[in-house]
Amino acid sequence: MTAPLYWIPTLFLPNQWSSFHDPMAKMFLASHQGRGHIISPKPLGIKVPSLALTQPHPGYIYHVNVAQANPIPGAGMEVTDVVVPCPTGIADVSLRHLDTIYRHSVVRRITLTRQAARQPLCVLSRALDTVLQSFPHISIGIDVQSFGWDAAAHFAQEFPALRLEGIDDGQLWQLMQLGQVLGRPVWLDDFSRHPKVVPPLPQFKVSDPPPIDVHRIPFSSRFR
Amino acid sequence: MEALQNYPLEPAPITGVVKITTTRHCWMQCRFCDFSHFTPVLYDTKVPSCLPLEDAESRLAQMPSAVGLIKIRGGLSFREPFTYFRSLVKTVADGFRGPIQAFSPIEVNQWHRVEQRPVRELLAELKWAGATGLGPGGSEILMQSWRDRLSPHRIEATAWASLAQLGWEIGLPPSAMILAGQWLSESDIKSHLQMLSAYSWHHIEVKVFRAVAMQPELEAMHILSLCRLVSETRDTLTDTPIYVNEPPGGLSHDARILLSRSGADGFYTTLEAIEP
Repeated sequence: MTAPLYWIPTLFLPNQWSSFHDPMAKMFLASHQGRGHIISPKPLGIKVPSLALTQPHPGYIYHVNVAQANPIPGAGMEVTDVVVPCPTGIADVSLRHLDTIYRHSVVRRITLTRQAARQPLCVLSRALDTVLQSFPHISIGIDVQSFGWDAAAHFAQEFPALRLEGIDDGQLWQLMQLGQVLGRPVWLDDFSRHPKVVPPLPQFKVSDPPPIDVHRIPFSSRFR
Repeated sequence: MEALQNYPLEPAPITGVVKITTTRHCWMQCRFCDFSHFTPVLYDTKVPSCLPLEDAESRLAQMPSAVGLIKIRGGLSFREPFTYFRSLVKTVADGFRGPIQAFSPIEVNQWHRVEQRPVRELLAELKWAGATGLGPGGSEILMQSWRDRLSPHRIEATAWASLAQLGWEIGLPPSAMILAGQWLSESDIKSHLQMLSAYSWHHIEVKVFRAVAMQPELEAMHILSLCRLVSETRDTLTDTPIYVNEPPGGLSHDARILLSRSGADGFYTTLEAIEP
């Protein structure tokens, strides 16, 4: 069976803490059949299946974005979720960050972002290949918003192990279309439970128009 | 390693195209066409006039400088005689020194049938007026079954291709087209390419189909399928240049890179459309 494409809906809760965070998370999960990844500044008051925190907190997955001021997690951190720009070469600062984080903590997932829209595809392809080979046991994903759909679709075809991330609800149809083209099923997932199959898009067939007899007048209903 | 195959740093050259439409009125009723306004061929039908020559002249004077190609096309109107179309080509050629693709075998066939004039004579007059090539038409798929189903009033596929080939004799090199839509199956593409490979063409255009509103079966092609189509075309027609005709809004830089990697030799992007 071909590797499925995973759709991981993600909710970013704002950094400024408010009492609305719990209901927002609850509503988000309810609207995605109980699946979905939540990124929050603090632990939530309700139990959620898949959670990462933007601030280090013992016992929780730390969502590290290397664009932040202090990307190195504390000594107590065991699991880490890293968002890093796609490295452009062997001396790229992203690789150094990734290496440092990897030494200090257990990296669960890596999400690569594209630094600029014009970052060449050859560089991205080589970088993805390097990262996939260097971290074979870590789940690697690319951020579709920064990569763009054309590049993301191409890399999903080139590297079947790659996850596509950052897909909004409104863009699910593009993922479903990609699944159709690649012949891969789409599963709704987060980072905790068993995934759920998203029903495929309806298939339309070109229906035959009514037969036209050119020897009689009027020869089409539109001529009447 | 397939993943590390060479990617071009820059896409193939992009040619700016100005499209001149003589009329949107057409009687042919092709099912996929959301461009034309249906005008039946009846005695009392009021057919609006085509693009006035003065309008074309004044619009061409304000044309952007980056134009690399002018395409003249039209719906099929019975109102204007062939001399109008010839004069239009002449007007365009007087103000533009680059290549001009004037009309396609569909229009030439209509003039041939309406005015009872030999095809060679019509083509020679277009050439005299300043045309440098025959266009590939709106959306020609040279599969008879497909034509019967979606555009039953068009001339037969073989007739279309033979008429286009006459252009070589006159000095109007013909071009052909592949309409890239999601509905095309692999066997459809194969038979279309086989048909194309039986003739010789100046270039092949891959037209990225614009999805037709409210007709979910007529969907645009996905970028990966498009790359596959261009690559298959390149394998079948090894020596013929392939140009990708971009949809309104254009293609992304990544899409252009991927298509260039698959074998596209260039892109046609519409700079301006001149219509009546």
